[in-house]
Amino acid sequence: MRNELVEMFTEEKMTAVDAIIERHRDNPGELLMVLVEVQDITRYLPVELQRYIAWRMGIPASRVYGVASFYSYFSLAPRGRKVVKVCTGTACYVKRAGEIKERLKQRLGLSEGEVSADGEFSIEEVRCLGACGLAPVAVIGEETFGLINPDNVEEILEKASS
Amino acid sequence: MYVKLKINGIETTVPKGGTILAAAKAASVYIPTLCHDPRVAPTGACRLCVVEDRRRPGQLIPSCFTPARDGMDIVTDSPVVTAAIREQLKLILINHPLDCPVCDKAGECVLQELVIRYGIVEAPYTLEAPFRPVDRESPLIERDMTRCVLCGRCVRICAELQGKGELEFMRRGYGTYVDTDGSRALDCDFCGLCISACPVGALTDKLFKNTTRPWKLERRETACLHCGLDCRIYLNMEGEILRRVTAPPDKDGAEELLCVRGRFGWRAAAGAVRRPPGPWLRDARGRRDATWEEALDFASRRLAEIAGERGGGAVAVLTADLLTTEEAAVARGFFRTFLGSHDIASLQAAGYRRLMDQLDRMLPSPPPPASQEDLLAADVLLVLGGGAAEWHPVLKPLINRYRQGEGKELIVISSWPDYLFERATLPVAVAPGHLEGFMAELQAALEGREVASGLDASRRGIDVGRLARLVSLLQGQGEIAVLVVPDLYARGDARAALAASLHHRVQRILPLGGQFNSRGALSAGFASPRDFQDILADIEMGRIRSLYLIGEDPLEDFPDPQRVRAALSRLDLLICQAPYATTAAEAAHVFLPTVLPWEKEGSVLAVTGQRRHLRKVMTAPPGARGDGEILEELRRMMGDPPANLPGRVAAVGETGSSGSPAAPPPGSPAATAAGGRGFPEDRTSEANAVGAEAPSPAFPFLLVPVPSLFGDGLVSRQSPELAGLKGGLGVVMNNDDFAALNLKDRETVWVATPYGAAPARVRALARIRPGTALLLHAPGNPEGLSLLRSDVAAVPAAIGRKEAP
Ligand code: SF4
Ligand code: SF4
Ligand code: SF4
Ligand code: FES
Ligand code: FES
Repeated sequence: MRNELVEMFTEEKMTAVDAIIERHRDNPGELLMVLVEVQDITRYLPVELQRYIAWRMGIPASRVYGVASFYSYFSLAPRGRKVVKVCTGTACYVKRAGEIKERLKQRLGLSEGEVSADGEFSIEEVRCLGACGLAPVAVIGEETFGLINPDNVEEILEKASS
Repeated sequence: MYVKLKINGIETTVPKGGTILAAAKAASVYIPTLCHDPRVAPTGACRLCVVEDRRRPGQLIPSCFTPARDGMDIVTDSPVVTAAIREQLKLILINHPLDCPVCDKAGECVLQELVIRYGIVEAPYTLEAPFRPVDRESPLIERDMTRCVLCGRCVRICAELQGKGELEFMRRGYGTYVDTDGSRALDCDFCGLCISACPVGALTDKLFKNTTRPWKLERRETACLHCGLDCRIYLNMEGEILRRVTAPPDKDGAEELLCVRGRFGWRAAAGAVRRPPGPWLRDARGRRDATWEEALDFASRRLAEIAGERGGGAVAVLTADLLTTEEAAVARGFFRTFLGSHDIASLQAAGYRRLMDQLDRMLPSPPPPASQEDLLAADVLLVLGGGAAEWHPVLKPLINRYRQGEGKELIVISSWPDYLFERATLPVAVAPGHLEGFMAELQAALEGREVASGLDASRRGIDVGRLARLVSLLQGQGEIAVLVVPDLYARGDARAALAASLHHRVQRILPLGGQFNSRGALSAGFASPRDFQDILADIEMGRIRSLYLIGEDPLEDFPDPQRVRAALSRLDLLICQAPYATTAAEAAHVFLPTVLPWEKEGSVLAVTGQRRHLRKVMTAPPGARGDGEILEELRRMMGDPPANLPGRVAAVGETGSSGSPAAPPPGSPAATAAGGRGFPEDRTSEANAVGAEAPSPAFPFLLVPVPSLFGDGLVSRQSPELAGLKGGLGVVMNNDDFAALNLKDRETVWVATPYGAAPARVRALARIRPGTALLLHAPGNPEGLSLLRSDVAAVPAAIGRKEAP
């Protein structure tokens, strides 16, 4: 079980994952923390990794999956180094978020859940980032871009890459 | 404290804290519910149970989780309420396929009933269908989430009651569905509680699938055959064909608890299982089918000869406790009184009988009944030994109910992390092989013969802080109930002694590990201080010449089958009277096919002490006869008791009570302690003798045979479904040991002990002590049994991927 994960993520990363689990192992209530910290290292949480966490912590794997699939924060599929999150909440949606997302996908040559060949970008939809005043909003990596429109997606991608 | 309110104008009361729904029930007023399941906490997911308070018209109140308050004036059928329910049903139907004609639930589906009751004929809303998984791969349970109404009953019952958490809500919002991680097949307890909770056809019983329709079934009540809790079950019969097993309703109208064996193990008695069509005889020329007259004539003549020549003591009996209490009395009369046999022992119930026998001797009166309610009422539940909920799986939900109570303590003293240990408020881990020694020391400490701190805690691998808390809980004020759990093959005398020593301050003592009617058999006088270990030694020494098996098979249910086989071949007469032809039947001189408990009438006594009279609920196979009938016939054919029986004196001297003989019968090992197999006087030295040999470099693990959730008993083993779930011999290891050996989940490894080697499927579990490995499903598996020795709680073992050493 662990061997396959080492192949996926390297021994170094799995050692770090083990250390995180070890720290929280006696408190199954800290599962959320474990998932956050582990994802920081592995960038996503494939089901094999979730099962490993469940198994080491002695909790049902279904519960881990339930939590991991509930929060949009967690990704079950590989992600790019920079995740492009397009808000499709109500305010952004009425301001053409759908079109913006399509443009971004075109520009990056990706569908949702895919990672660009260079491992740089992946694209996701999110619901309301709490910045409706700036709608439509997208987040690329750590950077937030507001008041965008379908025609300046190139610009923001360039800014984000620089 | 009661609350008074009106429901549809009817005055009613409920205990304070009770819901409006409960009040309505008390007033016999109907309120529709979908997500409500009285067995688990309410969540208010479906909003079909809405009602209105006349004092606040227009405000809808979900009745299933709103507490009733004084003076409420509830109406359940106002136009506002009815409109809300109808609207809600239409919303639910958006994502419900109307496939009732092909759905197994049709006819007992809550949604179908509600849609008809509320006359929903149109489906005004449409939305894109969300992703919903369908699982047809899992054993026994089919999951079709396209039919799921997201009521969450399965999720709650699996987590809260079964304590498994196999099913969970995945994703969120409109995309929510119920599933396992990554949509894998179920790998759980298969208790089927989720099926019993699902109001629609999303979770269904695969054995029932496409067989018949619910309205064609007649429900016949009887008891589960698979363990001594004798859970109430309904055989769902279509004519004389058994189609499925369900549980009768509890006091709240929900299904009573059942485990996997009760719900899915019924083909051990019907359908798939081959039952022998008639008796057979074996002589020098081999085996040949015989008529009942021939077979009984042969058996009675040979028994009379052996008892006549050698005395009744030369005949030993093993019974599996599938006899009704009345039949047990017949058996006792025939073997003890008439033939003069000393030994009526059991294999599958050996641990239970021995615990009961020990308690009987040490307690002023036999342990009183301890019902499920009695256990729930205790403040401290002390469990002596591991495997309680594996022997009797319904203890899982039962003890989870207990734990939901305020301030309840669950103390489990075990050498392996069994189900209850993992959930204990005070788990006390004792190194494998040291359990009996620890029990004896604890008893001494509690009796003040030794101070608690003087317990050799470190040698036995015990946390000293926990020990202090254990002692203070036992000396505290709370009501204590004790569960005494036998090991699979090692004697548990010290735990029985510890339980008995606590009797003055303990409300209930409940020995576990009993089979179908083990307690009934004891009440009929089967008690004996001797078990098969003693009998086997006597067969080897030529003192016992005939073995009469009633539903037992020592080749399948005792460690070291080679030794047993050699011993059996020395017998002058081996009679096998059983519902199934198992291994011993092939070696027997006479085989007599019998009926199963569902095929006869009589009473049973559950291990909890509840007596029930069972009707005959199934037709017996034509060639089979009742055990009592067979023994009565043998006695009739034998006429007078065999003459000049040296053993008779002791037998006649016995009283008719369930009591134990005053002294061990002559020739018993207790009287020949030099043989080294007698009752050890010194319990501490016993712990060392029977505990475990130390691991060595060649055998670095300690292998502990443990009971299986899927049933170790001979009846359970005949169920193709339970056998399938077991998947053969299994070994469970600590996570780190498993990782160090670089093993894969469920791969086949070799397990070797100083006595033998066998292939087993390996799994890893959190919180097993490193160096300990559990052996599962050895009963019925000759290779598995050959790894073990009787009366040894743990054997040294090597585990690896290599071929057998
Ligand atoms: S069968 Fe029992 S353990 Fe398995 S999912 Fe259903 S409730 Fe849970
Ligand atoms: S599967 Fe059945 S019990 Fe479970 S949430 Fe769906 S409808 Fe409810
Ligand atoms: S707990 Fe025992 S009696 Fe109850 S259903 Fe399970 S095996 Fe049958
Ligand atoms: S809807 Fe996009 S930020 Fe609120
Ligand atoms: S039954 Fe009350 S909300 Fe579902």
